[in-house]
Amino acid sequence: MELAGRGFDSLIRNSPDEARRVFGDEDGQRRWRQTARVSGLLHDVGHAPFSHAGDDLFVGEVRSHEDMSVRLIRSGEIATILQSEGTFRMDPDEIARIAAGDFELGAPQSEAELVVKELIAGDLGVDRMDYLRRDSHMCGVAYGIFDLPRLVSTLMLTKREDGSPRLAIESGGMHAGEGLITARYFMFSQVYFHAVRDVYDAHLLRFLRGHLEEGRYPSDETYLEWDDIRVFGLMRGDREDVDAAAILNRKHFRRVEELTIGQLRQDPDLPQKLTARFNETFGNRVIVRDSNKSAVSMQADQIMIVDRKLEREDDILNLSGTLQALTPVRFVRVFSSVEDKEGVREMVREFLQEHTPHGGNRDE
Amino acid sequence: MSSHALVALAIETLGAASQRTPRTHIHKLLYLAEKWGNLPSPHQFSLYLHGPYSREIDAEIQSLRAVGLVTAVPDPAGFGADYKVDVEYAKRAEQNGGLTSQQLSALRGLAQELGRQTVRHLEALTTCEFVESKQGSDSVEGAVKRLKPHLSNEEIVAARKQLACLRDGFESRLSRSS
Repeated sequence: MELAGRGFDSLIRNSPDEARRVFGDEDGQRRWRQTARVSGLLHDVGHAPFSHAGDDLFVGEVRSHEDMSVRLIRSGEIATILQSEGTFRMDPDEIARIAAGDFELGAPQSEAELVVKELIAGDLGVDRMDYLRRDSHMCGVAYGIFDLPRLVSTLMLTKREDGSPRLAIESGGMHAGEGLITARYFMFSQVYFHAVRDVYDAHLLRFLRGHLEEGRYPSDETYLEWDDIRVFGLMRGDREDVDAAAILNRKHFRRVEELTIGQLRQDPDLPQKLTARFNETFGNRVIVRDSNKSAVSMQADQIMIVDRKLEREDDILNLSGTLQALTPVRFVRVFSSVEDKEGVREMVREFLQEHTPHGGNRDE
Repeated sequence: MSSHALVALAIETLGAASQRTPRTHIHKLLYLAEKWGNLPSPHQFSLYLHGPYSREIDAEIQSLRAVGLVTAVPDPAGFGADYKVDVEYAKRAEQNGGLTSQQLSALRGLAQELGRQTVRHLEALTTCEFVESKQGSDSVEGAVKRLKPHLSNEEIVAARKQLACLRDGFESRLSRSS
């Protein structure tokens, strides 16, 4: 919320003429500033307990935490507050479109809405700026750090070819922008996809699939009764469950094998094949995880860099060799209980020998 | 056919049909082909900035990129990136992928048509299909206009007409050699 306000202020300061055209006079700008801050606040309101670990437990009518955010913003208490409180009254549908990216509610209805949406959740969005630094701080790691004040202070507006506005960075902030993307890359490769963190996600997901009604979160208001504490309570009620025991006793499954790039190049579907094979033999005593993420989305005109003195602008991807070279992060790992470790490892190696006869190493 | 192989085949097919293979084109080609062609391993789509979009396809493109089977080449003019699939993997996907020759021919024909369209036109085409598949053919134009106010009525009408032609062409290829 706070960063959304600061980012918005930079747009006004660095591009006053374009900002006036997009957001209107001073009153209009104040209204859109409030909209940006509230959208930032509500952006992740639909998250399940333990955040992204539960993303796969949204099925059917509500297919993602974003869908749930839309539902929560448009109904009940939040909608009432939006319509009745604050300096400016707000439209819950507009906030839902901006905060949770719901295009089934309709495309952004104005240029201002499009810009604020990008400011919150785009590649340069304040959501990313916020979670990277917060996660880095909470985990006690040095990854995830980038020059936040520089980046926020260089945010500006520029125009697309058709005259519509888009977010950009002043040229002086380019390396802070690169810093954000590389910080994201390192957070994924070193923290979010760390083997131990990854296997705890898998334990939690399997436990909840087996214990939630129909293996998914409810799509009605009872969803709000689900929080981390209730999930822990559910685990304590079934301590014999292999995944509950792994989490409660901190005896998570151990990494037995990690596939190499060379092996995955020979057959990118190895994870599915491994899963099928091990489900047959070991049931729930083995976990196969395939985790991947790209730090940069390679979309058209995602991050434009504007050099005002030279009157030049270009996509950051064209200006930064570092970002061009940044391939997505992918880890395919097999985990098992300590007791099964040796047997599983032997079987994985036999399996890989059979399916990737040319071997392969990670640097291939 | 695995999902990875299907995505690789879509990239290869688009690449053979057109100069450019950006992400939007890959998503839209697979959206229509899966909708009309009864292809194996279909993906889940939801409406996004430029029409139907699948997170699963994106994840598969990234996982292929991570192991070097797909590369992304930034467009020098600043319009995103073009995706290229490893030649050997594309061949394997085609040979062992499990698509019938009719399905392959229909996919190629569709890629030929979609490859030369602008993102805006693809957005109009696939949003019309998305709306029609959800609510039937009644008042599609109005619903698309509500979702995509930047599209003109003429663009939406033209998109619907072309969509019908594309579907006919696709279905006739599917049945032609059977």
